[in-house]
Amino acid sequence: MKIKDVQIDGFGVWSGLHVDSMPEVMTVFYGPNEAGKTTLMQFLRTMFYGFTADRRQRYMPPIHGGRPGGAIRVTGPGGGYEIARRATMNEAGVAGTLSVTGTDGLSQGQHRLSMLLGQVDESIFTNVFAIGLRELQELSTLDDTAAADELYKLSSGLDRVSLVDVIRQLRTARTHLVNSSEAGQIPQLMLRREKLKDEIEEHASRGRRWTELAAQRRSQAVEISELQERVAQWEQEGRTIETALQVRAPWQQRAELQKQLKQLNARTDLQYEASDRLKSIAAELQQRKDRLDDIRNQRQDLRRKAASLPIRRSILELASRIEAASEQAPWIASLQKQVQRLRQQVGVSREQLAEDAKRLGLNEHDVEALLTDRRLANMPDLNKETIARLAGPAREVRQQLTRLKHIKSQNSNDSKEAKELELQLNAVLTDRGHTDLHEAMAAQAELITNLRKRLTLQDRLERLLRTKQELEDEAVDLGTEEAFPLEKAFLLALPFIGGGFLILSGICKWFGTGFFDKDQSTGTLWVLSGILLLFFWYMWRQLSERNTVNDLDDCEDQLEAVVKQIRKAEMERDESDKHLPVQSDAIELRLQRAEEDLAELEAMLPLHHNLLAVRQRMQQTRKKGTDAARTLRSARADWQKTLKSLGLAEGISPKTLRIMSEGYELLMQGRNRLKAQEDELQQRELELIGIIQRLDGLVKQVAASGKRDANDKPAKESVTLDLGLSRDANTKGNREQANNKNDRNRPNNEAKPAVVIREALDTSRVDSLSKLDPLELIQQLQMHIGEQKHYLAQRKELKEQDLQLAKLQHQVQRASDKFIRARQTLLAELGVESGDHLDEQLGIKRKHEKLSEQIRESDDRIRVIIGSVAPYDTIARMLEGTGSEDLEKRWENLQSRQGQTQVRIAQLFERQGELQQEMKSLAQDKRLAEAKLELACLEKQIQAATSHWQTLAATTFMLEKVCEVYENERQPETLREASSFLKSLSDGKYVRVWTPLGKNALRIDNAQGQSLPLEVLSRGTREAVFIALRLALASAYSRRGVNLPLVLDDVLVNFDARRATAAARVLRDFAEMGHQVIMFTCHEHIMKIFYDIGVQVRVLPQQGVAGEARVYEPARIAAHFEVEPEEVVVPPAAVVEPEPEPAVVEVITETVVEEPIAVKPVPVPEPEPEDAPEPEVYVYQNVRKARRNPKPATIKHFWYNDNQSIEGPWNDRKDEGKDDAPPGRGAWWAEDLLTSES
Amino acid sequence: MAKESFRFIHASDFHVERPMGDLYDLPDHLSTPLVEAPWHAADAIFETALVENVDFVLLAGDIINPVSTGAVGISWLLEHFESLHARGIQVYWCGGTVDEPDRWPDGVALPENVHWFSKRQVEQLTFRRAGQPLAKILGRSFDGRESVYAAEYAHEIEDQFTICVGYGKADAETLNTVRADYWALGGNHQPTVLQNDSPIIRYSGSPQARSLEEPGPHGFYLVDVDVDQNMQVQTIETDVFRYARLFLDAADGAFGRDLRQLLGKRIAKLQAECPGRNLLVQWRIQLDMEQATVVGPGAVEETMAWLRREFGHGNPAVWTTDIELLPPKSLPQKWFDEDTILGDFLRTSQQHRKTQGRELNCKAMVEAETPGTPVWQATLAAADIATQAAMIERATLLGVDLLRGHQVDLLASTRRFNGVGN
Repeated sequence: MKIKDVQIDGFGVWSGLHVDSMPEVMTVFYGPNEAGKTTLMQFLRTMFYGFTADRRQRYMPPIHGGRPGGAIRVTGPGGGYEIARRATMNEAGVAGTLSVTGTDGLSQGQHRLSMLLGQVDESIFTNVFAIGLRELQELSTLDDTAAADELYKLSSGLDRVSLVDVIRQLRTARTHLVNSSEAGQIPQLMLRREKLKDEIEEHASRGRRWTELAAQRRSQAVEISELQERVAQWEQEGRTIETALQVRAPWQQRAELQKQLKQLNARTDLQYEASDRLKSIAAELQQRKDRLDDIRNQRQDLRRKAASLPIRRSILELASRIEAASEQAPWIASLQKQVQRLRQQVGVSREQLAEDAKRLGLNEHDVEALLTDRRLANMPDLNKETIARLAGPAREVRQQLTRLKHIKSQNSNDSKEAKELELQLNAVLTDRGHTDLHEAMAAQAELITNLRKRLTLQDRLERLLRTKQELEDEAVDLGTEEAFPLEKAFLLALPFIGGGFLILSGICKWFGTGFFDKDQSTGTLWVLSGILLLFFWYMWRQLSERNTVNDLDDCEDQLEAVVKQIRKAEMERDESDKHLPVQSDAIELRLQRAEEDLAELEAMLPLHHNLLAVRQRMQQTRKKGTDAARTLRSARADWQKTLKSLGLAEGISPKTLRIMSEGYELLMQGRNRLKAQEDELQQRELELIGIIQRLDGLVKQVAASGKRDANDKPAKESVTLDLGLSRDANTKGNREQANNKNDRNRPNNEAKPAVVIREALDTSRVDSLSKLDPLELIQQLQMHIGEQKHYLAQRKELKEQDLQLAKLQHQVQRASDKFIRARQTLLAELGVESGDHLDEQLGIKRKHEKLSEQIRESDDRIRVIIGSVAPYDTIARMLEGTGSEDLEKRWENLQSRQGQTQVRIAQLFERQGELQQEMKSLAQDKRLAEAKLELACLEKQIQAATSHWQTLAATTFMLEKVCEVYENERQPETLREASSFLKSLSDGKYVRVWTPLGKNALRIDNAQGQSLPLEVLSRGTREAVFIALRLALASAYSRRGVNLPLVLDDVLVNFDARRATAAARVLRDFAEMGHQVIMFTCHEHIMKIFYDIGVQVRVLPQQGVAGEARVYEPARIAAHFEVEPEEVVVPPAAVVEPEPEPAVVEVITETVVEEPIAVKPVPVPEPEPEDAPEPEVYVYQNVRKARRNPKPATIKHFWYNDNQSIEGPWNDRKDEGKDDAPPGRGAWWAEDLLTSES
Repeated sequence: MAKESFRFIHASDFHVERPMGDLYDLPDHLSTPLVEAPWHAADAIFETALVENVDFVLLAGDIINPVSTGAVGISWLLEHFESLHARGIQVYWCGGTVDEPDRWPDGVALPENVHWFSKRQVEQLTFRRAGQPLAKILGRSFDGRESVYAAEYAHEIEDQFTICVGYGKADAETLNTVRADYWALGGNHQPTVLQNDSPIIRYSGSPQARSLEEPGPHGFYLVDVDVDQNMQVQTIETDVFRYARLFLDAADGAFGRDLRQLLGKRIAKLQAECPGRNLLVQWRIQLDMEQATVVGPGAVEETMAWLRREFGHGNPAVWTTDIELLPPKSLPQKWFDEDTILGDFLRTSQQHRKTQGRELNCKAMVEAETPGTPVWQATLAAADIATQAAMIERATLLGVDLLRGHQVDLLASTRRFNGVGN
């Protein structure tokens, strides 16, 4: 990109400055100090990179007014462009209003500008393409090493920043972080971390201390509890010893008593009861002896009694037979009862039979015959066959009777129902004056129709009346309107009054009377208008009156028609009323009532139908009744006919016949029953007689055996008594008494049986026995047998008593023996010889007991004293064991130990308190938590710092890689190129710039082949190296396609004339190689150097006025810069700073007409850095073109549009030689063309 | 069986011995609250137990490290246990990694109301009220296994409310094989609900978060069990400080004046979401390098200072712990294409990124700058690939900053650590 034109609208001190047709090679801007060179440089940067904050502050607003910003025209890839950038004071953005307009007129923005700048941002531009005096001055202020380093940086990668700078910056930062001398941040942090860890460890150990204290406290608590327990034991022991001392005296007394007791040697095992028991055994023995004597006497008495009993053995032998006979006694009694009952029943049956026969109408003879079991003759034969023959007709008669009865009942029900229905129906119909339901309903329907019709008429009449009323009202309104139309009159009055007023006014105007001036034309117009209004009034009035009359007529016609309709309707209403019953109620009410009546009548229809059905059913029932009566008559005739055929009376009804048949069967049954009863009576009588006969025989046998036993008895009794006495040999003394008793009892015992036997055996009464009642005989026999059995039982009982007494005697005897043995055993057990011995031993025992009591009392006393103080055994051990004498000493010992232990407990409690306090203070120490938090923070800080160091290291590592690549790939070429420039700049004295391998330093070789470090070079040489390196850098960028103008600010100021000239040539040659170079200088000699070598020099105009930086003319330069104004730097807030008074008195505004100087390019050979010390350059001769009245420096937008017809590329090499031609406004290339034409 | 309602607290992971993390520097005014935050959060649990008059407290591990917590921790815990004991509130404690029963000092006795589950097998305890059994509690302290072994909790099934207490990782599917009504788990610092019904399986989480990896509210659970054994679980937040990591995308706004407004809005939103809580915020800001007008560590520090000044001193405060600059998702391609040092650097960086930093060896620099110190080498060497990758990203960002000509204060990010460079 090459700058062609510059147009500053307003920027710092420049307002309206324009620089036209800058050459594509080198341009030198000349101006004294503060002439605005830096402002122009900054303007160019602003055009490229916008209004940065710094530039805004320094250069805005423009001191001399004008819109901030401007435009430059450049050539670049794709043609020419105008870059315009303007800003306002309010906006904060960097870009401002940017437009990049190409030759095609297409306006583009930042993208196109970035493309034109080759993506080079401002920092690169500043570092590479802008070389300032300040940098050279800085270089000169550095020491040798730093200066060498600065120069080395130029060779080792520099665009936005210096690679070496960045790497060094990173190294410094890293060193700050990890300086091993512990001044670094991370070492310090780690040191702090260690301290904190130590602190935390210390506090943690305090935690362990707390735990230990807690353990100590716990163990001490255990110890305290143990000691307290021990003290309690000692107290107890002390109390025990005290008690022992208290009871020692009674204890010894008790021991003495116990000794006496022992000496007594009493038999304490002997019981006092033993003596009593011995005595009781002796008493028992005596009692048993007495008892044995009693028993023996009783037994003798019993034997005697048994021998005296009168027992007959022969009679007892018949006992089985008598018992068999007596067993038949109930049977005999029942037989007797049966005979008696049968006799009664026979009598009753006979009487019943006779009565039944009489009831059936049998005569005496027949009755007798019946009782005597003879066949009857005159009884009707009502056997089953007869009955069966009569059953059929009888059933028929009964069925017909039943049917007739049923029909009668049904007929009766129907007639009752019919009556009820008739009553209900009649009740409804009678109320309405009708007899028939259908008739009533028809009448009601007709009434409803008439009422509805009447209602319709009523409505219609009312409607007509309303219409009539409305028409009448309308007629009245119309009449009123016709007579006095008030509203219309008002409306009509307006045109009338208006017309009249206009006519009058017109006339007044016509004649100029009144308030009006005379104006005939207006007056005529007013009169005509008034007439028109009056005409309008008249026509409107006529029309409205006619309309009203028509409306009134129509209304009256309608009224008449309505009256006619009303009359007609009234007539129809009267006619209708005639058909309606006269009632005062409203028609609607009546209609509603009629409809309700009709509904009620319709509800009666089912009732009516039911009545008709009942009546029909009655007729059918009546017919069935007639048929049933006829059938009954025929059945009765059949019945009579059958009776006649069987020979029975015709008058017998079937019921009578049934009764008769039933009586006949009853009579036959009675007769049969009587016969059976008589047969049974006879049989029972025979059985009774047989039994009586057997009893007679038995009685006779008893009598005979009685006699025989009476003879045998005395011998048997003696034998029996003999046998009884022989058994009891021991009771000989009692035998006689017993015999005596038997003898005394015998007459009494024998007296009663003897009488009975005698009575029973009285032979004279034997015959009479047979005539006795059999039951009575049996009773007598049983009585005899009973007596004998009683005697036997008595004897058996006596025998059993004797046996029991024998047993008792044996038992008593054994008990007596037992007591004897018991006495002996007791004496042996007690170990005494006799009862007296026993009594003696018991006396000793009593003494023993007395002593024991004394000991017990003593013991009780001792125990009371001991109480609950100590266990008794412990006291006993103390008083009886070894050392009982040292009890006092022991007590004193205990007291002493107790005291010591109490002291120890108190100490422990005190220690516990201390521990508690220490633990509390430890537990309240929150420093551990704080330290932990600090440590956590510190760890994070170390982590962050470490991470930061790693980031710095990684960045360095990658940058070093970049550096290596640069050193290998780019640096050699750059240094080679720089060597070429340095050779030219040093006029061949220094020929090479190079870098030793692996060392970050530059070396310079001189023409003599000596390699010198930068440090030893002079300031001027260093600057030459600096410029050479910068030019090489720019050249390197150019090779990479980035071709931007190189802006130099008085870089040759420190050079001497010869070197300055050489440098100027180098720069010129550099520009000739396709790099646009723009140089600013305030030194005239430098300007002249350039001027002399053919570089176009532009002189900056006066500040504050619009002007052009013209091409240098030696004649004018002195006058122009007589006094240089101070360059004013605008402070940030000094927006309204007054325009500085320029020191220039004479403002050059003359119009110099100069002939343009034709520039003729002279081809110069390409510079040969290695060989040719004097580079060949193109020498341009300035072709000056005078202009008249230069217009204000404004660059038109679309400036290229004006010259679209002109063809040809912008950067046509043909134009290069004419760049110095003064361009006209608008299109410089066009003027170039014009110039060339001219 | 008696049917009565009861209530209990499920809490875990107090870690009172562990300080608040992810803090680089301690502000004076927040120093004390930060130190006391874990203690206050845990205090709130015991206070709630007393105020709400719960029947028992379930502690599911990692309550306190008796070794490293010092005297304060043990005495503090004993004091709380004693206060619960005085009110008849039982404590069922399942030990975790830091509070294994074996680590408890022998000389310090626990009150009778504290039941410490064995680490050898699952213990079964019964909670009784007036002699009536109300709940069966099964638990086992941490025994070195990572996960809760559900089969060990098998028990005789009864019509009694059953609570299982465990420490470690767990999944709902495995725990569902055991009949229980409530699983009180510990060992996860974030409150987590694995299952919310039959049975409820929950990690109560730590009552106070300790790092940015534990964002959101923290507290404990208060569980009400009615007579029908229906549960109502209430989360009670106890945290004094709440961590949050806020992310600003490059699209959220340009880095500069607007950024502050954006940060302010995000803080206001966060404060509205967490009323009454002090907030510890880490910002992660992704840069749009091309648009950014102010970049570099200095700008970050300046922004952080502004954030702390504006929002860090309120009550509650919003304290910015750190601002992490994330590299842009992609740098402009034209930078890569540049034939400048920057272009070369970016291409080199890209190459290292591709090789995951394998060729990036800073050992020479470590040895040169910290000679003969293996400790330093271990400290400064990147640990793993992820760290290496992040380091390359940061290095790229820094290199771009430097090579674009920005004035970068390379020590700005660590200057506030009170080291060199003040």
